[in-house]
Amino acid sequence: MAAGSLRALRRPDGVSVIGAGESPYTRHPASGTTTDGVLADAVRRALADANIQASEVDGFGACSFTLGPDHAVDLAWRLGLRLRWLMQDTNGGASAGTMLQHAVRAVESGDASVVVLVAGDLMDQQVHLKMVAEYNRATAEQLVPLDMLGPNALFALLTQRQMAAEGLTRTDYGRLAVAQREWASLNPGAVYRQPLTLDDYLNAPMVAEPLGRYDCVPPVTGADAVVVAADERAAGMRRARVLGVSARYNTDDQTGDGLVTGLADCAPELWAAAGRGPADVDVVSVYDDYPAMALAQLKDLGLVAGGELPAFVAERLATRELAVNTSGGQLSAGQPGSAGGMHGLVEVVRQLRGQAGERQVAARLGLFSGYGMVLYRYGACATAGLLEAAG
Amino acid sequence: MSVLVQNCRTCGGRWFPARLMCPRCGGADLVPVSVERGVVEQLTHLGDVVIASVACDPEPLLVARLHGAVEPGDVVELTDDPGASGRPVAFVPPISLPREEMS
Ligand SMILES: [Zn+2]
Repeated sequence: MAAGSLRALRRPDGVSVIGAGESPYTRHPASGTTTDGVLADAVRRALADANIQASEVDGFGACSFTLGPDHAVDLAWRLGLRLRWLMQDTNGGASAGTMLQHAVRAVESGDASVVVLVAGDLMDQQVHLKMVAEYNRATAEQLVPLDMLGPNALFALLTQRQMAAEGLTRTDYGRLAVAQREWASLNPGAVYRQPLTLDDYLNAPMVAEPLGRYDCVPPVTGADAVVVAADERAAGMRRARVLGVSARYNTDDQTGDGLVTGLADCAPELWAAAGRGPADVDVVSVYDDYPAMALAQLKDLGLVAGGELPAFVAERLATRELAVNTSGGQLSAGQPGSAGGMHGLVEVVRQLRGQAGERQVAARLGLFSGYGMVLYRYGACATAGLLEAAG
Repeated sequence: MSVLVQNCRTCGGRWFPARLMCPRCGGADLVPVSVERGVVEQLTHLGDVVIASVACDPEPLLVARLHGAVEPGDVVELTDDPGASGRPVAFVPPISLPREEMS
């Protein structure tokens, strides 16, 4: 097959995530902790998990809000990686899908054979305040002058709209937070593992009504990484084969109510590419910067229909019958800056590879989603991927 | 009192914050236009700060800080003056416009 355009259409046997690693999340990083240090820690852990030497890596992608003045190539150099393929991603909560979508194509096309993807940040309070103040131009010029620091108020308004549209109450969001805390109690890597009751949730200090303390992710320092390779390379290894990755950016120019994410457009092509449907999924990680967004994504992905969210929360999430955010999600595990976008992928890979310890579920098919990058009123990036246990 | 939003002279679309091309028609003939009021859709409190979604008729949707007694559903005057006071207003910081649009 000579024509490059034809080669690009050729689908090899498969591309898989063959390893995952997470640099432990900490609420209060020890002095001397650095962004590149936690990124390197996650990369080392992912390579060890995949049983891959750094010298075998020829593709690398990185996403970090706090890596500057360094770039992805500086990080690669300091990690000793000699590469044929490199990308730097800036999509925060959607970065796992963004990078994985590119990495799968790079491996399929032969541009790279073993790709490491990493995301993470040093996120102490000062760094966090600076990040949310300078997030983008619209934030700096149109939101910060309102004496509004960070997106809590925006998602409070969005949550009010979702409550009205879907008949949801604070109790419903609380049930989601409590269920994720129950998962977190089984995850030694989660920063908040002590039991959370519905009363704790409902009586917590208000941040911006209807959002209370337990609706808002705790910023932490940490990093997540995965190793991506062709199945031929990973023969005999337990792996998570990528069945599809889909992405949407700026689907509505910020002119809607924010209750429908770009995942609503991703989902049909994702299910069609994989030949599967929402009912086939065994484990799900959705990006939970706020409970309302976790529910919006579950709806957009087809796991619950509109108008059925309160019953879905009570019957399937609160009971943990449907395995959603089994790490505890960011609400309990913490949000390590841009690694928040990679956290759900790492958890799905661990579940599919049978590495989830006490929280392990019987999982053949896993789904992850990412969401983020608030342009003005809500997030504009949405990515999702479907993976299957193999090997 | 008013705030400036962008008006597309090709399709009539109204945008905030400022865009470089019209998202609806792709046109670049975007000029500032004054909008004097909007309807408060939802509001929330960040301590003493009241943040609201304000809908102009027919567009755009603004994020504003409310001053004075304002409830969801109320029509509120818009201002780009952070110091304005005395009566209920919704403060929206001014957009920075491309140089050629300054007059
Ligand atoms: Zn136009």
